This record gives sequence, C-alpha cells and structure tokens, in this order.
Amino acid sequence: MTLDFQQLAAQLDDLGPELRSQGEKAGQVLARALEAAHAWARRPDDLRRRLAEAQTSWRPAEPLSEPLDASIDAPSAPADYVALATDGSHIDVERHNPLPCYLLNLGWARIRYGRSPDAELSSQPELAYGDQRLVLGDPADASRQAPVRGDLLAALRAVGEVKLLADLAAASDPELPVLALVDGTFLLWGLAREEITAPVKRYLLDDGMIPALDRLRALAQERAVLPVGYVSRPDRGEVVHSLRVAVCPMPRVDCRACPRRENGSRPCDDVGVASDRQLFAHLLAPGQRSAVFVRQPTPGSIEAQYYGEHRPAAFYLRTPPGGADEIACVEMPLWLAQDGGRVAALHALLLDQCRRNMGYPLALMEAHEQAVITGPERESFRRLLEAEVAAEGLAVSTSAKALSKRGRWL
Amino acid sequence: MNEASSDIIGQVVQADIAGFTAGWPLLQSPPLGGLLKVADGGTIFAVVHDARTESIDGRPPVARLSGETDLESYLEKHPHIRHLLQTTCEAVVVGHQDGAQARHYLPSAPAPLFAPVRLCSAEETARFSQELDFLKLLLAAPTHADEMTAACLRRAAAAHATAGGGSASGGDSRAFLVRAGKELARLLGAEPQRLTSILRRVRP
Repeated sequence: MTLDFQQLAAQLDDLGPELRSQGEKAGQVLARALEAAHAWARRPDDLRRRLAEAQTSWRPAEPLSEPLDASIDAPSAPADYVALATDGSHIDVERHNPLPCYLLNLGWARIRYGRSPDAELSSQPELAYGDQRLVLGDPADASRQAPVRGDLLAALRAVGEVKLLADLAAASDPELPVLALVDGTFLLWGLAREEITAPVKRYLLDDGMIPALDRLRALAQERAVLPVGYVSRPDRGEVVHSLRVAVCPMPRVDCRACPRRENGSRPCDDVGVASDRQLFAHLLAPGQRSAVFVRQPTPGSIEAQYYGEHRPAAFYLRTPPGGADEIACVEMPLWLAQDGGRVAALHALLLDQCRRNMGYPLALMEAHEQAVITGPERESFRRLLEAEVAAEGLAVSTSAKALSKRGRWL
Repeated sequence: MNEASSDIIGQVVQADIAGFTAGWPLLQSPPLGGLLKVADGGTIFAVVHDARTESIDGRPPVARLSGETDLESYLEKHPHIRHLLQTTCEAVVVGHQDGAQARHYLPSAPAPLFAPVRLCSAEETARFSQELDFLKLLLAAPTHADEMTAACLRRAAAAHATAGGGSASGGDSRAFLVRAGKELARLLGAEPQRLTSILRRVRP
C-alpha cells in the first residue's frame, strides 16, 4: 500500500465544515442569480446591448430568441425515427511500446424505431504507424509538422466521429427524422493552442471537420437530419457570465477596470454561480429545455475563423423522470439552432432516447460501448504488436520501465 | 426456448474432447436432451445438457419494463437489444462416426472450432440410439445429467416410434424404453435413487 490513509483521513476531516460553509454561501449566490435571470429575461434588448459592449475576460452566451429564463416543454416524439451516434476511443502513441503507432477505434450505433425496427451496432479499428501517418502538417517542412498524439490525436478522432456521423446520416432512410449524436462538442477546442501550426489546423478543420459539418447541413436541407453534441454534466458557465455582465454596476462593462470591493470581491460575484448547470437545475423541470444560447466568438478564435454557420449554439436539458436526474448541455450548429421547429424535434427525440436509457441517450451509450477499448484489450493489442514485431525478426524493444511494471518483485 | 428444427445451424465456439459450446441464432437454442451432429470432415454426436441467452459483452441486461406482454414486441420496441445478446448451448459428446459405423465413445479430437452444428432428425436420432453405450457418457455430464438423460431418452423413444411407423401402441418406442431402462439399471446399480428418478421422468 503506497497511499497513506492515516495522513489522508486527517485532511478529509476538515472537508465537512468547509463544504457546509461553502454550501450556505452558494445558496445565497444562487438565489440572487435566479432573481437576476428572471429580471433580465424581461429586458432582452438591454441585455444584448450590454453584452455587445462588454469587455470581459470570459465569453458570455446570450439567448438566441427565447427568454433567458425560459423553461420549455418538448412536443411528443414521433414513433418512427432513427437514432445515430458515433463515439471513439484510442490507444495513444506510447514510447514504452515496441513500435511507434496509434490505434483509433470508432464505434457507432444506428437504431431505427417504429415500423420496421432495426439496429446496427459496430466498430472499426484503424492502426496507424510509419513516419507519414504519425505526423500532421506540411510534408515538405518538418518545422511545421506536429506529431499525432495527445490533443491532436483526440482532434483527429473527433473529426473521424463527425465524418462517420455524416456517412451514417447519408445512408439512413430519407423518410424518417434522424437524430445524429456525438459525445461532446463539434468544436475542436484543443486546436486553439498557439503552437499548433496553420497546416495542421487546415488538415483537421478545412479538410476534416468543416466538410463533414457541410455534408450534414446539405443533408439537413433535404430532410430532418439533426446533428447534436451531447455533454453530460457540463461544467460551462457562459450563461452565468452573462448574468455577471448584466448586474455589473459599470455602465459599460470592462473587466480591466473592475470596481472591486474592499474585501477584494467583484460586484458580479454576487451572482457568480459555479456553473450554468446549477442555475438551470432550478429553472427547469424534468424533461424541459432552456432557451438556445449562442456565444459571441472571440475574433481570431477557431470558432470565428473556421466554423461560420456551424458555430455551436446550445440549450440545457433536464433529463426526463425515471432515470438519473441531471442537467445536460445539448450543442448544435447555429443553422440548426435558428430553426425553431427542428430544435423542438430534436428536444423530443433526445427525451425519447434518454427515457430509453435511464437518463442518457441510448444510441450514444451503445456507440460508446462499441468504441471503448478495455484494459484487457489494450494488453492484448500490445501483445499482438510485440508478436508481429518479433515475427518480422526485429528485436522487441520494450522500455525497462514497462517491463518492470509488468513483473513486480520485492 | 424454441424447438430448433434440423435446418437451424449453430456453430462450435469452444470445444474439448468431452463436450462443446455452440452459438445458435438468438433465442433458438436446441432442446435439452436433443442429439446434435457436428459434421466437418468427420462427424461428432453430442447431447444438449444446457442452454442460455446472455449479454454478449458481460453487461448485465436491465429490465426496461416498457409495458410489453410478449418478447417479440419488447424486442421490436428496443431493436438494439438483439445485437447485445447471444444464445449458446452446451453439449456432451456421446460418439462419432467412423466410416459407416457409429461409435458410442469419445472421438480422438475435439469438435473443430467454428464447425457447423445441427440438430439430428428423428431418423438420425433413432439410428444413433440403436446402441445404448452412450448412456454412460450422458450420466457423467457436468450439469443436469439426470434431467438430460431422461429428456434424451424421451426424444429417442419418440424418434423410434416415428422410425418404426408410429404405431398407436408405440411398439418400437416401448421396446426402446425397456432396453434403455435395463441399461440404466445396470449402470446405476449402486445408485437406486438416481435410477428411480430418471425412470420416473422417462415413463410414457
């Protein structure tokens, strides 16, 4: 045993009182935030103006058309529809492995409800090795290349998921509404880092994510294809940020000149709920959604530069009764968010999916189950890799650290 | 569990000399005591002693209680479920074909993996059970040995009735059961309670 639980227990003892005191304070903040939400919901134009003028260090989100404090019920879901979902997992390039390579596994679920019920659950692994495939960027200029691992591999995987989603949507019955789900967001946040070069961004965005979203949009112009990014238990605070702007005493909000109080707190901390989730847990009844919110993208950001009409908008959803009760964030491209009928349709279909699976969209869970690479599977993969390398007569070179972890001794 | 017809084909997914597990189309496993035939090069005979339908990936099935009163409508309402379940049966090997001759003892090698498996027809069952040496192998099955032995004998008796022209008195069937009863009495001489229990289950 390496974790000293005796020392840890003493630290845990202090946690209870601290949590209690935080809880009381948070309750007061939440009450004031709810009050502000109701008040500013009646002044949408004033709120929009304040947000447009505000100079803030964080990005607020504003309601697209519905009131800020709206709680909206879903229409009933059609019996006939298709739920699609894709998800991925990967084994990253690992220097302890005998061969530099990565493994992407894309899983998907296609479930057709109503007349002619049918389903397909499957996955597709892709092994990548060799110098060409382990870097992205300018092939002629090594200084503008980046190794595919970590965040970049995650971005590559996200692109693969959305491409596959577009393929599945294109192949589905054109007569039926199609709810097309990915886990998380369509936005490749990870690419915002400075060191990621333009050719890498071009490859992942201009030649990857954006054409896939274009295909989904083209399909959606012909039929009810509803692409959605689903975030369970989101940690965002963009609506709370809007409330902060709304209640700031400055006529034009500028965080750089914040009129801090003597104790160092900011006036907007009065409504500074930790996340939007906590706010909407009090605004929404089970099954209801919030208004659709959009962020004004920071100029020069990935969102502003590449996404255009695919910029994400989102509503919060309280899962329906009968399963885990949670607030989820449901993201969709702006072009979909601007169509009220389609937003209502996807709300209804999402609720149906959640009802079928104790509060989490069923198709998404099945896609995840198809994609996931378990611990034993990772170990089998490593053994296969070693066997293949050995069969080619090459020495299996595994790091001393990896070897020592496999066989521990005293 | 449906009575599998002889045109449904299963597939060996695990095998040793004395038995094998076979995958079957969902919810269509062959009946307890049914005589199976693995024909892939040689022929191996085996009798079903267990069958199950379970999750394909170890996730426990969850009752969704959505109001359906029969299985088919439940599966229609949740169409993905079919893809997450598998049906398998377990069988004890009771003999093999050696040229024209059926041998009622273990073959020299296990059933080949992925080999097709069929339920024998009544005629094949009657032919195989002419000799009763395989009863010893049935009685040594790892699970449900007595229930399986009784079920196998009931099915064989019915097969003999069919093969013998199906007379109203069940002549061939009765003769077969008398022979089988005597063989059981010989094999279970030291276990009279077990013998009685099986005979009660076989009585027409």
